Amino acid sequence: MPIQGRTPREAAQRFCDHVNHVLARTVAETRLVVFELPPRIQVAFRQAGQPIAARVHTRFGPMGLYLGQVCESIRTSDSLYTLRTIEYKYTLTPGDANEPVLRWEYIREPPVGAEWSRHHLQGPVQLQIHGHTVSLNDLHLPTGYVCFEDVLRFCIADLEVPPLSEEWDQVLRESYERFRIEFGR
Amino acid sequence: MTPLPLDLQSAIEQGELTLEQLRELIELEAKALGLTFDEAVHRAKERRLPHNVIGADLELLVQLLPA
Repeated sequence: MPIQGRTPREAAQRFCDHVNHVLARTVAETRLVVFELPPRIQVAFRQAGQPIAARVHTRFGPMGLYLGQVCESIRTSDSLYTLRTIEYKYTLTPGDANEPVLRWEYIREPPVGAEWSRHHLQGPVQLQIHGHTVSLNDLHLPTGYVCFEDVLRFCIADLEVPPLSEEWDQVLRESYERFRIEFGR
Repeated sequence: MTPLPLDLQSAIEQGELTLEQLRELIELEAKALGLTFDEAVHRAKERRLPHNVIGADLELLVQLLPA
């Protein structure tokens, strides 16, 4: 089923419901909340309206997972509305640290004059390049479009977050394929 | 961050904000970062907000403002 709806609101809610369905079977039961201000919608973890991170337990200790996305509703030729990603931010923050150790970001329209890759990875990771210490926060490491399924898979496969169901791998594969084909990412 | 007014919480849960409510939410999140509304919007567009959860969310919220 494509992420479409007869109204932008319906399309947005379907998207949010689907991601929550995947989350609850993989890493977190924390709920994404969607709201719209037409023609755009925002999706993020919220509690009492405030943005929060989902708590996940990794092999390194507890971390906060933030998933946030802005989409725009586009009316298709058959009078349905589909969603197009305007920006996403996926971050992982250790414990009560002040900043994420990893940030996957995408922005459809970078600021005027910005020449860096629209899809990139950043974080306070130190790189040694010819005797220079360079922070990954000062670079925009290209990534290509990163699906939220990829971040959840990273949490389970690499950070060893205990999956919430035995079918987590299938859940992520099916979700990824569905979005690749039908969501047009 | 100070608790959101109940009507704003309700609007978020209902899934639809007015422009005024969006501005209110931005202002509250900006205040949590020690910024005014205008400062937050300016820094969001320049991607100079803190990278914590509120900063990340604020940058996304600014994308909903009319161009």
